[in-house]
Amino acid sequence: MIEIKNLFKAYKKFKLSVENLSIKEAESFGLVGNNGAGKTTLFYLMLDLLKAGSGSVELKNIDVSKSQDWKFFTASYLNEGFLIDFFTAREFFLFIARLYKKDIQYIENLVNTYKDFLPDDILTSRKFIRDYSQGNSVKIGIIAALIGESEILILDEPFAHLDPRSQIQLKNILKALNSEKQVTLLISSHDLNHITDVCKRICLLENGKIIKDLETNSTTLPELEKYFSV
Amino acid sequence: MLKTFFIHQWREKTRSTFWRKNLIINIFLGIFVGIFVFYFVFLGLYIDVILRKIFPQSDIVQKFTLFTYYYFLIDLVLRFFMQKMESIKIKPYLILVLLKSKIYNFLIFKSLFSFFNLLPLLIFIPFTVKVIFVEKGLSFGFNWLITIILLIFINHFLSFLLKKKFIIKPFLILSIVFGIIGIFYLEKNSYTNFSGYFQKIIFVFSKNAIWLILPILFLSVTYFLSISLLKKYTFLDSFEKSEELKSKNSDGFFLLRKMGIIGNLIELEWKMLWRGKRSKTYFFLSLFFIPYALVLLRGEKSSENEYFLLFFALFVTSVFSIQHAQLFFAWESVFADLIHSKPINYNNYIHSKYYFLVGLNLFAFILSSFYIFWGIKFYFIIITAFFYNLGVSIFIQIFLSTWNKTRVYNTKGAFFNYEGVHIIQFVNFIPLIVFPLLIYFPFHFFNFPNLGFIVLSSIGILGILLKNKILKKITSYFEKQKYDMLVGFRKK
Repeated sequence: MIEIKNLFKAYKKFKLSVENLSIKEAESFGLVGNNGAGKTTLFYLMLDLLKAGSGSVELKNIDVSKSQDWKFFTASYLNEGFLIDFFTAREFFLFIARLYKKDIQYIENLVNTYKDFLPDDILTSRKFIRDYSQGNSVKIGIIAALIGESEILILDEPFAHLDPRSQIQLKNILKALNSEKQVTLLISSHDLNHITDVCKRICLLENGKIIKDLETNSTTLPELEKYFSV
Repeated sequence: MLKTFFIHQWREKTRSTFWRKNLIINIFLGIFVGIFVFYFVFLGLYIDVILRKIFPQSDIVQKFTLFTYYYFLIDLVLRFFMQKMESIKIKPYLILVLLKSKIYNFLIFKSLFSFFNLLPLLIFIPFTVKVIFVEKGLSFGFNWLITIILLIFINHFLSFLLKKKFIIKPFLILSIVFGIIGIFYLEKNSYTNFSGYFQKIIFVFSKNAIWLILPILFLSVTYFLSISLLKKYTFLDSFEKSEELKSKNSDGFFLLRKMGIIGNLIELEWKMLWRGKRSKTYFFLSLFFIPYALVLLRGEKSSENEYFLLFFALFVTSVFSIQHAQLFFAWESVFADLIHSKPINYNNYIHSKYYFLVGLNLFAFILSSFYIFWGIKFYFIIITAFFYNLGVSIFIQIFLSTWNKTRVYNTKGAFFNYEGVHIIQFVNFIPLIVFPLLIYFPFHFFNFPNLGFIVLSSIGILGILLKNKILKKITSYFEKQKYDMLVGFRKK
């Protein structure tokens, strides 16, 4: 599903290099690491939002920098840069839906499916997205990423800013997507409990390099905790 | 304490990315300020000569004082629109152990150093020294100058108070403009004589310093009102009254929905323009330029120069699109990552920009059709300019805006806001206005003006016919630029 080969990106004081990383279809892949380890940079490179120094990222055998077709099956929410803040939630959902040739009926169904997770009256509220609290706008961004039933879903720290209840709801949503709809998940998080709960495979990034690649089992959490506690 | 504040402000300015990256623009702005200073000093030193020429028999101090009435009127209006209370990012200071009154006083004190306060002194001080001291004596001169300075400061605080009272809306702008025109008209035709009363009062103040207590009292009132307003609104980022957020929650325009993804993108662009403070201000400013050509058309019909007519036609028909397109792509900088990670075909994306500008040009064209009453010739030239814009200028505008690489916050105001301003915005008139004039030049020179206009329209129509090919080229260039744009847009 996802093939990363000799990917390299250099900044003044920071180098990201991922020699070989392959993620299978319907895998749930977690990325952990300290601030500045390169998690977001890696995601930007995978979404062709940064020019790679060398190497390639292939999503379903499509090189992301050579074609745009991968965008039809890859969805993402990395940060507030993925929200249009002068839209109401309804307008925003509808804007995204139209890119996938879906209509308002589709949005109503989608919102109905996730109505416990989303704030109340999301489709009728006249509030602009910029007036929602940070947590609620993250929720809007994540649900917007579900429009179009993409096969790959990339989320950067989705649990940050959410209240405990919403965090648990999000975990259930992600698990369901992964197991029922075979969505390939790529998630980064600082919350080790959540990420080991959701993801079956976890990579540890340090200074731009993957230093650990673990199958999640009962020893993973203690092992990660040990790494971060030093 | 004040010193620390000033040091912090200085660092904020010099360490801002704008200051560091846009040296050329800063040089440009510096030159503009220099020119202004020069003009004002020059005016201050020689205005008496001018006045003596126009009013050889009168007391020129009296005449000059009459004019200051109009000056203060316009000054107040300009301040209302343009001056803003610089709320230094006040939040970090509020939690510190500091006397809040010190912060307020600093804000007020700093706001005094605006060019609205400093530039007029360049006129008033030389005039006082050169003319009033000589003609009316030292004490009269000093009192006169003090009165004027007090009035400048009164205007300063008054504009803040007004700003808090009124929201800048199109209706308000129009009523202010018509109000001012009305006041001028009534004064000119001697229905009212406010300038006369104004002059007499100033003279009373100047003759006897005791009376200065009145403007001083008035100034103190406005000052304390400003301080109390500041206290009330300290917790808000902006001092200005802002519009209540209301949205229509519209599902889009029927016609645009028919256009599929391109329509979807046009709708996005339009809502962005209409809901963004800066882009909306640009839009309304452009409205003011539509009747601009009347300046020229007033003269005798026969002597109108075709060059000027063409210049005004090009300017009037493209003013909306030039204003908006100068920050194309940068308007979207805040959510550019979304646009580039969603399934939006870049060719469609660039097409949507083209059609949006066509819409703005069409709007300007329709608005300027009233020029038909000023002769069919100028209207013919406007049609020429319209075709030229659709077939050439718009492409150039989109192409030039692929060089925009600065994050722009559309929620900030338009005046004195140089965010995203690039050297291109200063020179874009060359391809947009000067090129077509150059194309027209040989035809005019050999006395075939109409043929020149036909050639310009034909070039435009050719461009419209080749639209898809040209936009494809722009798209592939845009795709190369996209990484640099995205990196620039992410820098806060």
